Amino acid sequence: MIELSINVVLIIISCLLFVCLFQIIMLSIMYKKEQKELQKINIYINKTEKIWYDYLMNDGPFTARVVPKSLSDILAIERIFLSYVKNVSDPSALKKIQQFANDYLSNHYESELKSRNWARRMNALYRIIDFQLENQAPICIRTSKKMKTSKEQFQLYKVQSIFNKEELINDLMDSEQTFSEIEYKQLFSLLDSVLFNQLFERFESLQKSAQYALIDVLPTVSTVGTIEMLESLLTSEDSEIRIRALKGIESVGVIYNLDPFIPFIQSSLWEERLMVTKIMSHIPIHYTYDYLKSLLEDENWWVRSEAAKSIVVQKEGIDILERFMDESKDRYAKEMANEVLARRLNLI
Amino acid sequence: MKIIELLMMFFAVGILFYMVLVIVTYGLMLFTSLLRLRKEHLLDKSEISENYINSFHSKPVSIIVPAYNEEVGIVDSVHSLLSLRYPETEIIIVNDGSTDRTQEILIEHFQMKPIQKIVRNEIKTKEIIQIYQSTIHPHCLLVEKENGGKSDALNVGINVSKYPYFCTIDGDSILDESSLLRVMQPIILSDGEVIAAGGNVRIANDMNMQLGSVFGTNLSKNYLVIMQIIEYLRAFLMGRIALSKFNLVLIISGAFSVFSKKWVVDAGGYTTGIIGEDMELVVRLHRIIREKKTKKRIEFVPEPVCWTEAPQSLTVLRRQRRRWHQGLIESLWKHKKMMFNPKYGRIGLLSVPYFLLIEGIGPLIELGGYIYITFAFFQGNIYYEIAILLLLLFVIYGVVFSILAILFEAWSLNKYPKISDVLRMVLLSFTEIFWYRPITLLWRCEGLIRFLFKKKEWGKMERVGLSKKETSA
Repeated sequence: MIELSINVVLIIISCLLFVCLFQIIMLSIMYKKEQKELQKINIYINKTEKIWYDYLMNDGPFTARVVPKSLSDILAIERIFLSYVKNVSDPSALKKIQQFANDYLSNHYESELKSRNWARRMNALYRIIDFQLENQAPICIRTSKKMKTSKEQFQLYKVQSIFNKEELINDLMDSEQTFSEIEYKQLFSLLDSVLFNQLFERFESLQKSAQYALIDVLPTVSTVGTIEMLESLLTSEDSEIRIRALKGIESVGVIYNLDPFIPFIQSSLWEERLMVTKIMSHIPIHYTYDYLKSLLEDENWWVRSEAAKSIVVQKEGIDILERFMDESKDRYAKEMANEVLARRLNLI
Repeated sequence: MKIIELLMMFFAVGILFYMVLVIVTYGLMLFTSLLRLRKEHLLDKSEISENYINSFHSKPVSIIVPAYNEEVGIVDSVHSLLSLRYPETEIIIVNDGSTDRTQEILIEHFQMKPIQKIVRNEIKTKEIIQIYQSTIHPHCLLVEKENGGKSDALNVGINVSKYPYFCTIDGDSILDESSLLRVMQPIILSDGEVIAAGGNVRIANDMNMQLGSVFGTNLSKNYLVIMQIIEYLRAFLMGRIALSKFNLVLIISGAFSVFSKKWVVDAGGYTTGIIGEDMELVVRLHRIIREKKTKKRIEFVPEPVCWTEAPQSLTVLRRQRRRWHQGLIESLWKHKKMMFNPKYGRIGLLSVPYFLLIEGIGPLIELGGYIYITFAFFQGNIYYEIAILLLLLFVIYGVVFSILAILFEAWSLNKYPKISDVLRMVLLSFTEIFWYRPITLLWRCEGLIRFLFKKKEWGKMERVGLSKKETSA
């Protein structure tokens, strides 16, 4: 029995060591191959770096020498283009990159999109977005049924939000796929103000994470009626929506009317009281002092801290806060006022 | 005589079964890890972090650096934090009553000035003496406090922090510039479902590092360091990736991890007076997640994000391993209620038993195996055959798995390392079961004994510094 076991274990060890040996050989081959490939890429980059710079940045002439003839040339061009796309904001250079990629790299990305390897398909999608490969958009949509993973689906929506914005909203509504907030934010921040308004009209039909993302992106989109849109959400039953709407209004910093915010001063949620305290820093103090005084004595540390800050940023804020410290009997409120005051005076 | 024979047989069969169980468990975990690595093998990961840096939506993070007598590495460490690509961070260095020049060096180097700041004591800690703010980097604070141990320093950092997530980093660790983005990625992408995430820690000895950045990767010439590199790779491929996939991670390295402040404050912060405070916190968080019946997760990020210095001498390594093991057992003992308790789901039924039986008391059984083999070679007959079988299982467990880990790691990295380095590591793996494994087993058993006798020791690693300038000094 033990002898048999020894033989079995010996066979297992031999097999595993054989796998290791095979892998070492494979690694050596891959290492050599990669070195060669790298060498070719570097040769192309060294040869064409200056030509590309002149063409993209100095309106130099286009020369056929840069047209890729092999896979290593394509990989080298990818590297060159990515360094421009990520670091340069010159629209004419980016347009030229887009043009060249559409003319000479499309076939490569088309075949990559059809690859059975998930990572290669993902990389192709990244590049299509980076280089704005417009003629790949229809292919992406055609092959999209094969791309089932959530990560691929998200990249496909991104492609759509760049090249086919009109369809994006309908597709999002029809889709059963849910993304995270950050992903929805990335999609929504690519929309223009008209589409954004259309999307907001269908707010209630969106997934929860999409609703939250939409509120967060709203203040950054220069669209008419941002404040009104955000104010309309203050009556929502979902406290998260209310808090985010308050946060959005605060970040815009334009307050026409104090009335919609008064109920939040008495809110049972400290986050709502905190946000309304922040909003008050944008309103002249003689309208808000009574409220801020009660918020300075709030049971929550963050609310007290924010109330002191909202007072001190105002024109006569320092005097008001000093007066408050003399009058108040609340030890914690006085301590907070003192710290905020000290910090402010240090700054001055 | 018969009774002794029977006892020996029972002992041998027990160890054999245990070894088979361990090999099968590690084999399954290796297989699970490989599936994931294979999928992401060719993926351009820089693109993922680019997406997040460009977005304004990332959640701000407070970075807490507990420091006790870290004058050698602290400046490099803070520099690597300052060069992190992340939209909004604050750096809080907590000087836990250092007796060397840690504080003076920091004040001098970053031009720190005392400031007045009221700290909200959400977790009870030792007194803060003074808070300083850098005049060059206003988001960089130094907190001077009474000595209270690493946990207390971390708790002070949590109290001082203002952002909803905090990141802990050891005073001697160096991060890649995209480390924080990578480690925050699961938290952001899960909409807060992930409440803690830990990064993959790598050994940086003999690497070219200057002002907190890694400039080149060379394999160390020190055999002890190479063995530790292999050990890290094994732990990564035959543990963390697979455990993380099923939300079973109980250890995320204290050298670099991110936590949701709310959850940690609710859990009462880091426990003081114990050794493995980082593991204990993770176990406690898992416990609270299950008790509150929420769907939160704790994840491990496989990309290498944090570089740390490994011990270069047997004395320091012994102290470290003894300490780690004592910490592991302490954490598990503190939460023994979770063991095989269905109320805690997979954590109670799989994770805690795995860590206790395989990682915790495993060294004791393995050491028993080594003693058995030595004894059997003098006895002959049946003992001899069992000993050979056991030795072969040790070869699979110690040698073959190590080689597989090295090779799969070399394959999974997009840049292939030097083949000569890979071969050196492979050759060294063949020697593992004859020296490195037995001595580390002894040290881990020592940790187990120290736990039983409740010995307390604040192991301090003697550092030579990772920076080139410091190494040559």
